[in-house]
Amino acid sequence: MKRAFFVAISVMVLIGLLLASVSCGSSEPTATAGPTATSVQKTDTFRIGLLACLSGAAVGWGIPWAQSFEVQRDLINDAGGFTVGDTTYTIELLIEDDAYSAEIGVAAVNKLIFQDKVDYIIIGFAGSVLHAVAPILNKNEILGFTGSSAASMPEDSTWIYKTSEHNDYRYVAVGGYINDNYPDIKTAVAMDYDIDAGHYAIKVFTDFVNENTDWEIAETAYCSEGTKEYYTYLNKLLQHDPDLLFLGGTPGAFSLAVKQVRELGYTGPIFGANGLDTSILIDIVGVEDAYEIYVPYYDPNVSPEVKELCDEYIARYGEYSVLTPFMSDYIPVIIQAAQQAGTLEKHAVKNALDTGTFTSTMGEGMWVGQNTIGINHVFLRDHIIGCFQDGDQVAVGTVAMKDLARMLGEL
Amino acid sequence: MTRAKSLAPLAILGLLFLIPAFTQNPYYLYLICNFFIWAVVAVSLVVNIRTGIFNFASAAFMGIGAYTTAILVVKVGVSFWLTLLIGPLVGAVVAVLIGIPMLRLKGMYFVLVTALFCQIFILTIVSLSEQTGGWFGIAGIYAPTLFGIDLSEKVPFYYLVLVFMSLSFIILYRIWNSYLGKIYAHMGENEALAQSVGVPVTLYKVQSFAVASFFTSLAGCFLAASTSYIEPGMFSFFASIKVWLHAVLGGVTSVFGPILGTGVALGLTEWLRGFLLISPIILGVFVIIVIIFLPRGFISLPEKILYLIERIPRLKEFISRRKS
Amino acid sequence: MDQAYFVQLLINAVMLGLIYTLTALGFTLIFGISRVVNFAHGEIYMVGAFVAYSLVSYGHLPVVLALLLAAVVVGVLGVVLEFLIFRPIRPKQVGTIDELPNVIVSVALIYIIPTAVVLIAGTRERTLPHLITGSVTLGGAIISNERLLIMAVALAIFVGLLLFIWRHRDGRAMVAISQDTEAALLQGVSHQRIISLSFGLGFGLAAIAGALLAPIYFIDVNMGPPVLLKTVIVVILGGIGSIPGTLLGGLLVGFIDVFGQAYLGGSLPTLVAFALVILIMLIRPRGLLGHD
Repeated sequence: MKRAFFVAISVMVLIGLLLASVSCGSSEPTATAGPTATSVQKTDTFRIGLLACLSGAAVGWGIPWAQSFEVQRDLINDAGGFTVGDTTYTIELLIEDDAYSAEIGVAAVNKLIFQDKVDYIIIGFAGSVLHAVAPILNKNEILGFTGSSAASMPEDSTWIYKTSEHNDYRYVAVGGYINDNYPDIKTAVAMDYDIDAGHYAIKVFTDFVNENTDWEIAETAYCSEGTKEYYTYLNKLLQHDPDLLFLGGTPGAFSLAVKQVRELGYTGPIFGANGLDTSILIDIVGVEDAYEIYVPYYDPNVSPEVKELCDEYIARYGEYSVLTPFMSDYIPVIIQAAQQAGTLEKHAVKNALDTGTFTSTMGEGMWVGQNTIGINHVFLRDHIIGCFQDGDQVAVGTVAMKDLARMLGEL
Repeated sequence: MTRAKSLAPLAILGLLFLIPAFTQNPYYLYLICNFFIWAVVAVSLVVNIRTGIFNFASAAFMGIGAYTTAILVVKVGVSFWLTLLIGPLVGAVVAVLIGIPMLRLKGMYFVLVTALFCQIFILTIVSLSEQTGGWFGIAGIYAPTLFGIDLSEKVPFYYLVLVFMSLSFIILYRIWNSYLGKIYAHMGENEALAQSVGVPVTLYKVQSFAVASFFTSLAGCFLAASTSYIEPGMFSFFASIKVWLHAVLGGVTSVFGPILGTGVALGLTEWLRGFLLISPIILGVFVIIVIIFLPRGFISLPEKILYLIERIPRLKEFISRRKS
Repeated sequence: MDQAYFVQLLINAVMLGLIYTLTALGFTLIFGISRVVNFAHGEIYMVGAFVAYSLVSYGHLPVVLALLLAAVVVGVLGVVLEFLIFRPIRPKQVGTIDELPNVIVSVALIYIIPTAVVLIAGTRERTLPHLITGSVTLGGAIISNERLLIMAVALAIFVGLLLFIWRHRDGRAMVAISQDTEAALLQGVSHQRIISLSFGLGFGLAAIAGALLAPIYFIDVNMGPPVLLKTVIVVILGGIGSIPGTLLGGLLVGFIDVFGQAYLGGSLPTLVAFALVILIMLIRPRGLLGHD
């Protein structure tokens, strides 16, 4: 007993010392190559932290998300990096796993800020992580860029920006298109998973319907997490004889619900909450049943920049991912802000983000949000509406950024 | 020897108090705080295991503490200090209420029912979404200001957690070594025998369950303040499994084992960050290898080494016999 | 109430119930023989589906063959894992803390298996081609032949297992060991072989359950944990080690799932199932059909 006691204590001390010694170890200094004799052009490294769900429940989104950023980093670096003032920067991504958990996400952000000393952090899509780390970013004045489209913005979003599509806005785009093209819709029903993202999606959809349409939401269903048997839920929804079905979930879950609802005899239009890869839907639903499905479309051919990014992603990983066009504006917007500020100093860049003008990889872009979340920190770009027909996803319409902003009351 | 024994804990406590002198990096302080919190949960679990209660509801009791603090501080506006009392008491009362019927269950049934209790807890939290924020959780949980010191700042918060968690540990340690602790151990070894000599087994089991839940809930209160945000997913059955991993990895025969296990497991998880995708595999393989060689956890390492050293002469004998 | 709707619900409840029964049988078999609480059981279910998927898409096997082969492959994996990691830590004495390492090894598998599947197969959600096409009309409801076939296969496997356990020498040895290890050993039952067999069968049952649902659903790496919870409920409801009890528990959970979803919605059915479990535990501390 005594021996064990002492061993335990000594090991505890060792652990303490180890933790302490690790903490004293300084992080890698940023590589600062001095100016060469022949050129006044300086080179430096620009370090960005990136949170991704590399384990845990959202690993299916997290891995393509991180991979897309790696592809974009390599494309920018291979083209010689970017120039701010008299310095040419290459990008270094510091990828950390947030495991879709607030506790681990906070650890990751603390590591990025206090050990790796980054000033820019791209947060993954976990709403819980976003809400847990927002106070840390605000307090330490670190620029955070959230990837969560299916979560509300934190109450204090002073240092938090959203550089990709926001559910609140893309539903306005897709829903508006459906409203214009299906004037006969009276009854709508909605289904999503009984988790935070699912509840948020249906809340946003309900808000949209109440504000912009004459539809009536007859019933909403929340499936228990992990279930793949939607017959019962769908049966219940179909008893209201709906003219429109709103569906959320991962690409697989969405597709399966489409398949089952078509089997149950529903032939009307379907409003998809999330963008999705053509191949997954066609694999699960089949060509015949994939019709009148409207989704936010991430067209890989929308612009040369996005096309290059997507082509490189496919060349590397074999399959297309909607996350590649989805994330395409994060780094370019930071670069634009830095170039407008003439420096990478975070306060100057924040100032530029709040006051400057920006272009998206998909065309025009602007910051909105004053009307919806109280601060202009959500990046808006043209929204493309996709429709599945004949085994393929095609763009059936585009809502121009300015029109969308007007619909949102932001202009 | 006895002097050294009484001085050693003080020395360690002193060292822990000095950590902010070495580093004030919020990243490390956050990790060490979480280490203290999870360590107390694991020690509470081991008190239960010793009593023969294979409790898989640790996560739910952490959640009870965390949600009590969060709701009272953020939504009602009760003082944080008061919630440090209310949270654990709620945990202990719930433990008594569910313990009386559930502790009658034997072996595996108890394991599985306590595991389900975590999910019941989550679903209850979700269905009470007006008070609990449902799946969206509660943000903005901070420790208060005391004598002009903002305790939510990293270093003061570190001391706050250190004080409360070491106090919890000392109490659990005293219980472990007390007469009561010996009764617990006897019950764990042979419940039928304990009952036959007149030990009120059910009473002691409920007591042990309530004590462990009290400290688990207290740790939960601090976890809420440490991350400043909580959501139901943090308290799923898989968090209980994590506590079990810490406890068994360190060794359940000693009150120090779980601390060791928590330190190694959390430290390793954090250190493996750089490996990104494959880090869970490394962690899992490490755990399996450790458990195969040290089925009684890290705490049995010295015994194991002594055992191996004792066998060296025999090994030599064996080799020389083979040669001849 | 709408008769067609009711029939639809009934068929789905029975189908899910049978699938839950198969997974839970695997779980209870492993626990009964070797006293390992296999927390990685849901992950094995997931691996079964992925192995079936690989056999179809890379091995170009017919779907039915791939399903059965997946069970065999995962069963062999179970035997190998038992040999490599569970055998070295087998407790000398049951009912003591010597049993705890088992728990931790199965927890370690929860870390390892999904990560390995992500690294090998990626994270994309997949589906298997249909087993058969077409549908029949039953009581006004349109039921796809595929669902009926899945039910038939699940039932056949259940009956086959029952026959094996009642009639075959090894099956009887399993029952003997799960009831009284020492007495069985005295009568010359080879403990080691039976344990290997239980892991093979247990993993195989989980795998075929996962694979059977793949053609009508989709598969992804996160499909394990929800199934583990369902399995746990079925096992306690029915009583550990009781085969008829497991069937009863499985069907009960299937019915609660489907009818609860239809009439309560959301996560409430799960809460109802949990409440029922606690209630049954209070009345019958060893499950509905469990024995001492």
